[in-house]
Amino acid sequence: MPPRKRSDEPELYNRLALLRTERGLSRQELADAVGVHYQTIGYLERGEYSPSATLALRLAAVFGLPMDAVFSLTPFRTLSEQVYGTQESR
Amino acid sequence: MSTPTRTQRRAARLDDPRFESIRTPRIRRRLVVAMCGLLVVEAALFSVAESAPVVFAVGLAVLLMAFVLCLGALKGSTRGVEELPAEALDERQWQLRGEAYARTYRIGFGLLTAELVTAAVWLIADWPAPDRGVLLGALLLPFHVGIVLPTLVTAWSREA
Repeated sequence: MPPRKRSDEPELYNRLALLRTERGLSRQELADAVGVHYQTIGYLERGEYSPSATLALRLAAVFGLPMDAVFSLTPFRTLSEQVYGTQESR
Repeated sequence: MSTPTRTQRRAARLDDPRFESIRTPRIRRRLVVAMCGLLVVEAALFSVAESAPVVFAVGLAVLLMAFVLCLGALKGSTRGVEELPAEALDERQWQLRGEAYARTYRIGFGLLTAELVTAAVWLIADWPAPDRGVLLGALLLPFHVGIVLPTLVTAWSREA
């Protein structure tokens, strides 16, 4: 039973996995930095849990980025789109 | 470095990585089934309490040990989300615990209603009074179920 999302709750996208890997942090290290259980980082990365504003701000602060660089209500562009400006073929 | 509080020690024990192997949904559900089985055996023991007191006493002692082991494993499998205070949980675990208790309330309410209906039917139908063992079981079993129900519900959930 993951903390269930209400059906009217919008999807919250994030770049946590990318940023964490980029900074060479383990889930445990990131969890310790923001004061949550390491399991919760996994749920956040998989989009199975939407954080509170406080936790989202703390996570963004760890990466030294504004919150909207880490969390978004619309899907983030992929790295290839951003670097090469191409649309990912589906 | 300050000494960990009792709550912190309890949280650390329940989050012990050695319990990782019993934290899969499959194992957790097996533990839930095992605990339900123990409760059924307990009910059966109460029904023979008067006719076979030795079997009842020995059976209850063995059952108590199995009960403690099974409950310990269940709590380890859920990391104690259902019993730890708020300061030992993060916001996701707190939310999970809230949902588990809401479900526990509904199930507990249903079970108590079923027991009440059974007692009412028994009285209205004027059936013969059950022996003392059954009466003792009718008092103690709901108590035991009440103790383990939040843990059972949390462990049964997929993502505890």
